[in-house]
Amino acid sequence: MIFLPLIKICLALCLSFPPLMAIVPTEFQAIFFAKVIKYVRSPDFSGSKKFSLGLLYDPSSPDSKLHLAELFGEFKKTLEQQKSGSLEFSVVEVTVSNLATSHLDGLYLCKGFSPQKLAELLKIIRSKKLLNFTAEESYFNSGVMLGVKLTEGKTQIILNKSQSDASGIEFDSRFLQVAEIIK
Amino acid sequence: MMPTFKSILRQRKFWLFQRLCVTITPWLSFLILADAGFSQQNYGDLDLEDLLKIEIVELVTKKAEPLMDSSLSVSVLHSSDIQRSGAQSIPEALRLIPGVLVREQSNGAYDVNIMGLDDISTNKLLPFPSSSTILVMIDYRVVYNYFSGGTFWETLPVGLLDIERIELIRGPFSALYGPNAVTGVVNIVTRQGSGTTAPPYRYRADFKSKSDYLAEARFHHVFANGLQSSLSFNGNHRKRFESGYWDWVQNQKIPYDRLTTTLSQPDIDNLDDEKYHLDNINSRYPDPETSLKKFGANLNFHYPITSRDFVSLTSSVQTSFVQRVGVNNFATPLTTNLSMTRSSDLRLKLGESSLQAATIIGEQEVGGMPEWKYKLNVNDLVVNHQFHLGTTSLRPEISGRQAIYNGEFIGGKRELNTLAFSVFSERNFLQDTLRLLLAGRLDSYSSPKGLYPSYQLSLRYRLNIKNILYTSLARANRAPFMVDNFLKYTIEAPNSTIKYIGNQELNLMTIDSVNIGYRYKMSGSLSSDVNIYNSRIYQLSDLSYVESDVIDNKPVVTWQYRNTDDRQTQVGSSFSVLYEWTNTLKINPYLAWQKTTRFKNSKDLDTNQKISTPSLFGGMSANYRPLERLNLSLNSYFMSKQSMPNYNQTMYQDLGNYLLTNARLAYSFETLELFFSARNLGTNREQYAFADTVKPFFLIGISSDKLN
Repeated sequence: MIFLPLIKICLALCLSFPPLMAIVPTEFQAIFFAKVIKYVRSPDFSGSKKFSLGLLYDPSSPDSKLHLAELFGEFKKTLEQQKSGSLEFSVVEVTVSNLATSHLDGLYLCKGFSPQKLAELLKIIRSKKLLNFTAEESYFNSGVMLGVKLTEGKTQIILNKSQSDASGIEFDSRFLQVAEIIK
Repeated sequence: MMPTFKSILRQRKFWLFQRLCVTITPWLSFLILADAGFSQQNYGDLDLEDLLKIEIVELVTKKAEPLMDSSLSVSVLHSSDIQRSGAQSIPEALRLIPGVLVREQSNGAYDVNIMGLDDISTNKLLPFPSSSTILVMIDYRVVYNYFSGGTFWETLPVGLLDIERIELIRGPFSALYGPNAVTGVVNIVTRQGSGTTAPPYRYRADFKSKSDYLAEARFHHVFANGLQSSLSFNGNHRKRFESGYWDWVQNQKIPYDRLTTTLSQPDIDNLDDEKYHLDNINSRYPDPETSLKKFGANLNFHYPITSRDFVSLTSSVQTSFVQRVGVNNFATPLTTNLSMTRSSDLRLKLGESSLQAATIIGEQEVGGMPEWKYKLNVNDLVVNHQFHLGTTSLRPEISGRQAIYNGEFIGGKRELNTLAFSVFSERNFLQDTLRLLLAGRLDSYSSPKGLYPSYQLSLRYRLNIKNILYTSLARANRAPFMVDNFLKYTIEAPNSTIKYIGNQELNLMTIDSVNIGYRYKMSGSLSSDVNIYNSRIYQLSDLSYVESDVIDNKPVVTWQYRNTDDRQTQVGSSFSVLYEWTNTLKINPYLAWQKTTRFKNSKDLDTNQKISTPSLFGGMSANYRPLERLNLSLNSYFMSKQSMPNYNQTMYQDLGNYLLTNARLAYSFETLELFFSARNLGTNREQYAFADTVKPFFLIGISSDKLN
């Protein structure tokens, strides 16, 4: 059987890679992010001209770097074509080390952060009261504010209400009706 | 003599020109309309509510894309649709998809076809094809029977709880998925790798009686290193709706132990004589009251390596007993089919490369027919890599298949091997307004020798985000089978000997098809899809008389599979509308129409034989959720009148218009759902000629999957 060695190789590979998973197509993630901004009531972005979105990744994690590479071009292309009212988007790369000093309006959390590192990051993010967003399911229950996932072939938005309340970020009631709210 | 214009039109090569004209004309119309002032939109222009209703599919290009943007006629059925409908099997669930013709042969045993052409296999020895022109896959693993050709639905190891969704393409697509994707492709996507938010267990049980039930359980666990595992079991036990069997000689239903064999050349006035009865009857019908007994188990390990990469290993076992129409035993159409198989499927995706290796090993037989018992071992390997060149993506693929069957019917151990090379290419133009999909494939079979090409050319034009026009031109072919190629079977009748011989130089059934479709999304709540197509199927083969001889004063008649000039053409259309109002109401009417014409000797209309496929078939599913915990589902299925032949096409049974309705009422508690279901309402006759009467029944059940 030629398949047996292949199976062995693949199982060996499986033990050497860190786990990661994403589902919603990248273009749609970017569009969803732009749409969600319209529903943020506090802080009010409607008077702003620019919205700076940071793609937060871990340079020490190959997986995180790979994810950033997948996202950056698509987010930049999609969001910079996209306007939310008069708001224009800019997309930048952000690492853990320069997060504290970066001037950002929102963050996308790439894959590759361990639960411990994620917990530390979220403390900083909360202190900066940043809107934060991910498509990584394992982050949803760790305290990330907004998430997207595919359910039954359709995109579902997850809102961690306790995190948004703690950061002082409020959403329009229409958004609360379409999002799945977790606490 | 100068050819007339009419004669030129009849020429075969002109047919392609006609098709191209039909394809190009609407394109031009739309482009003109576009210039006339329609504004271009993209998904970013939609409201959030509408964006959340965009459905994602992957069957057409093997990558996630909005269904609205697909270049082919495609439908998706989700697990919640299946659950709400109360369907008890995959074929029954397929009735919810436009263009799928599903006929129940006995309780739980089905014949499934896409857009008809169900009688295309003009096979005198195997007159009842088993979904032989559609390609069915489980997570892209082909589950096709290469012994006699077709899909044996009861042998699929997965249960309904294992299914995340079913994706279906109407029309040929061999260029991407290989042979047998002649009238359509079905991919059953399981819940493997369903992530950290999937429930740790699921269960479902439907009870009609203590001997008529469905029971399924599925367990899911995510290990600390991210490795996901699942283990599932499914069992289904069904009793027949009636006790009699159709007797070919007496032309009525009679008890199984009095069935007459046509080979005995019976005396019509003396049919009680045991010498005319089917021999070995208890082996042929060991459990005449039961229509289906099946059990399946699946173990999966799925490891998400990165956001796009994964490795997945699935092992499955199944055993089944079913009484369905399949093999001709010269007495009655219903035969007992037994199967015991185990399979493994390895999928690996790393970057732009992917690999799939699958194997199935087992034993299958028709009860009481020792010649129709065989061992099987089918191995598949598919490797591909995707390149990106600007806005063009290119995916070359190499695949190989080794099918080994060992049985008396084919004279021992036989092997059919296939090596294929294919290229799939996709390019977007005008900021994704226009998408071109090109796929080509060359299959090299061990027999028949030679290269068999298949292709797909598809265009999708996005007038704006709510209006999509798509068209495709395709060629596909069916694979060679063991029986057609290697048949070696002798019947010793009392007064004669009949020899059947295979042929390794048979042409492969081929289809050319053109399809035009239009999708319209009026709002986030209302959408519709309509497509029309024209197909031509040719390169058919059948058992043909070869010679008669007399050996030891006994006539010996020899038949062999030979190529024929017969062909069929089909023109048809499918139409569906979907209306969703919040989470409360969902209505989906759909209808398919087709007209098939059969030709003898390439061009002469064959008026002797009737077409089995009904000209109209479809249904309507409606789901109403008046309260958070209460759900009512109604679905109806309709088939217009049809006429199906007996085993030697000397007699037809006419089946009138058919309408059945299923209803399901469910109430959710905190952790489970209780339901009451009524099936086959309004019906009390055969759906498939000469098979069992289908009768209404009621059941109650419990499920862990609550409404959402």
